[in-house]
Amino acid sequence: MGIQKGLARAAISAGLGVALAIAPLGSALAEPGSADTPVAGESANPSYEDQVRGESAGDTKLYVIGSANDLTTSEGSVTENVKVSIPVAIHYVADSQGNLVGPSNNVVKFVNHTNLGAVHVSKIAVQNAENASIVKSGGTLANDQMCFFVRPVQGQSNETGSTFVPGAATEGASGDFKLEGERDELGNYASLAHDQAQNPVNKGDWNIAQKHGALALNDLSGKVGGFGAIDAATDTQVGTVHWTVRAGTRAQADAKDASVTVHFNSNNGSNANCVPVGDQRVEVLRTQDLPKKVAREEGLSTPLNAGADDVVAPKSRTNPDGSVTSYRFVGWNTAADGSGKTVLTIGDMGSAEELAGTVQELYAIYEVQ
Amino acid sequence: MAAHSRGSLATQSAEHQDTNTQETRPRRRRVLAVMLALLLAMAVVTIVLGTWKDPRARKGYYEGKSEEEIQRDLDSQVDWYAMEISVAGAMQMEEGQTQVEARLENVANNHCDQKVRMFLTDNPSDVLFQSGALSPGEYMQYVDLTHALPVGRHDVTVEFQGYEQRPSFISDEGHLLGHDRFGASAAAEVTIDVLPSNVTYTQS
Repeated sequence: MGIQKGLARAAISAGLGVALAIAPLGSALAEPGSADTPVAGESANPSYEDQVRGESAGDTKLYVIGSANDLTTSEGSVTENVKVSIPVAIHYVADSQGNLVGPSNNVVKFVNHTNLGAVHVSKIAVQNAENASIVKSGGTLANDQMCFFVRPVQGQSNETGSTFVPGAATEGASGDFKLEGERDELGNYASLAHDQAQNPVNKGDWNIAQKHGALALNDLSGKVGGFGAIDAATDTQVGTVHWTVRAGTRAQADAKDASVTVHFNSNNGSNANCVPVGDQRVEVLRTQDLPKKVAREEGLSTPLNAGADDVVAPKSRTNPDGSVTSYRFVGWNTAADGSGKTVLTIGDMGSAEELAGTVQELYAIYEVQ
Repeated sequence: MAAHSRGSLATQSAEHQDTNTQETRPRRRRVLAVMLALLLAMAVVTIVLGTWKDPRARKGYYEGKSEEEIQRDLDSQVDWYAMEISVAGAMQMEEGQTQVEARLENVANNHCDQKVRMFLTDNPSDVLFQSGALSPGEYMQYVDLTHALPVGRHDVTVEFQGYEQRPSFISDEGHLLGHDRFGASAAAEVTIDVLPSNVTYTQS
């Protein structure tokens, strides 16, 4: 009898345990609005009891989480994060003919949450799914490579503003989907491997202004290629778009890409007038990062147009016959003997395109005073 | 003696049988109890789940639903599938070091976990960093790269892949109790400046 009781107790306990285990599942599946009873562990809110039938009451819960930042100062913050909201899935509905309905215009958006500057879409790669893709309306399987017909609509002032306007989709004379003006279509990037992403063709259109500036993907339309591969009862992936964003506008990024490494030489043996002040060489990583002044005491070189220091200050040298020759710094030159180009700024050495990725040598030139 | 022995053996055998019977009965009962509990649990699960989902329900859109209605439904899904990415736009580290302040963040507003991968833009096979999952609201201030980088500026792609927060029995990546991907990946191009270890820039 005792065993039977124990048996029954064990069975009920186990069943109750399972029931309790799945209770959260049931709660999760329950309608969110059906919160008639207080959440377990919380006391009933008196407002529920006090409220008049027919009225509604709501709670606002306040949460606080710790931050590693000192909220009172901004010192030490080097660069702000790039923060961008990107659509990672776009859903279409196909009718029985395979014609697609996508979200409305100005709904699918990139939103720049970076406060300090613009961002831009720097690369796009589009890949079709194996059995299905999106083709132009009325297209055939032969057009599968055209893939997605989504078009960005830039802000009216996409580098400073935050508004955007809908674009008008028009089919080009060639039968290819093109928009009036210079906007892109993703068909240009179709069937690219992920690591073969391309720069957007019309670069300026892909800038997104700071502080919640948005770039909308409009005219989400087309037709399903390989319609037979679509399972009407479930979501079928028909392609993938990989987006890459980058801080700054496209123009700023181009300037950054024009990187140049500069070696400042002030003790080159081939420079007859060079005063031996020691090896001084510095790498300037990017034009816009050129330091205005490099501390001499750190054992570094002198930048362009720097103030007085060991390089630009007048020098003197005692000759073998005891006489003293004084020199003064006259500038930097691309040749050690001063026969090259006088350089005042990095731009004097060439265009951004010419300098991109190169290492440049500059020599301190002196003349006898 | 022999008879006694036999008798004794017989008695011992009987006692042994009794002992065995006494030992196996509770074990059987325990097994029966466990089986009964499992059956009860399965019945509860079957009842709960079986009555929850209506077998006549179909995924998709009912016949006659207007294009405007469908589009409105699609619009309402868009925000859910917008994933925010957040990473330091420019990073700096010293020559020979591998730790860099990346400030990877899965912002609290996201609806998915995120895994982050960093690789050299010009050489995607050179993976510099691969994170585990970050839930919304979590961040990583610093990351350790797989190897040091030479002095200079490096273009690095930071790729974010979202994942459903609830595990699937078999995920779309083929992992048992893994997580399905949450849409496509999205990436940010950033720079890592590797400075010579003995260089200090002084900005005027």
